[in-house]
Amino acid sequence: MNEREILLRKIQTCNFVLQETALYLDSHPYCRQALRYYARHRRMREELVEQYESKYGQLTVYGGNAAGSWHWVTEPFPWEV
Amino acid sequence: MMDRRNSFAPRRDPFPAMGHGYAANPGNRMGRGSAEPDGGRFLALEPEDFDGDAVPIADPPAPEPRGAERGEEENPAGGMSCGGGPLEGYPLAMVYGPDQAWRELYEEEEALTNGTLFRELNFPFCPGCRKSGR
Repeated sequence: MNEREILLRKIQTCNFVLQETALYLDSHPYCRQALRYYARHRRMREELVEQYESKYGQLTVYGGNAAGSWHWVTEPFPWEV
Repeated sequence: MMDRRNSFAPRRDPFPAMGHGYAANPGNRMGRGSAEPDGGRFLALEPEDFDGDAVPIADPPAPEPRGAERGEEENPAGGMSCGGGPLEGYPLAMVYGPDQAWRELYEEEEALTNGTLFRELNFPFCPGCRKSGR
């Protein structure tokens, strides 16, 4: 795995545990441990996405653009990495 | 013997609210008559079991036609796409389960490969084996 793939994998992992936690929170909306876990991984995901987009361009069309061109189409799509 | 149509006798209906005698339907898919768990408490009585004094009552209403009979397409997964299925006709149920707790989490990477964040919810599909996946 190259660095880009590693970053993507980390983001994917964060997405997954966030989704799992969201499903848990749907039925336990006041569970402090789950809320803390969610907040921590959301921050982690934000940092990873920022890191990815600053190097490789947008991860989604809503993502930040590195500048110069519209990276969503000029760079490989995330699923092509 | 009285005219069969007019001497139709009441049957013990396990689900009277459903509007028609379930036990009076020998053609249903569940083979209910023989599988009755309490030893035939709902066994249907035939008109012949009653003497001539039975009060004549109307025939039970014909069951609703199934989807396929109405020209609808059968769902290949079983049952009709809008509900029903092999347990059609049984009363609906309320299902209860224990409340999940926030515990026994996998590490992030391990969660992704297992398809769940929670060890307690990891039930790998493994027919015939006892592996718990924990």
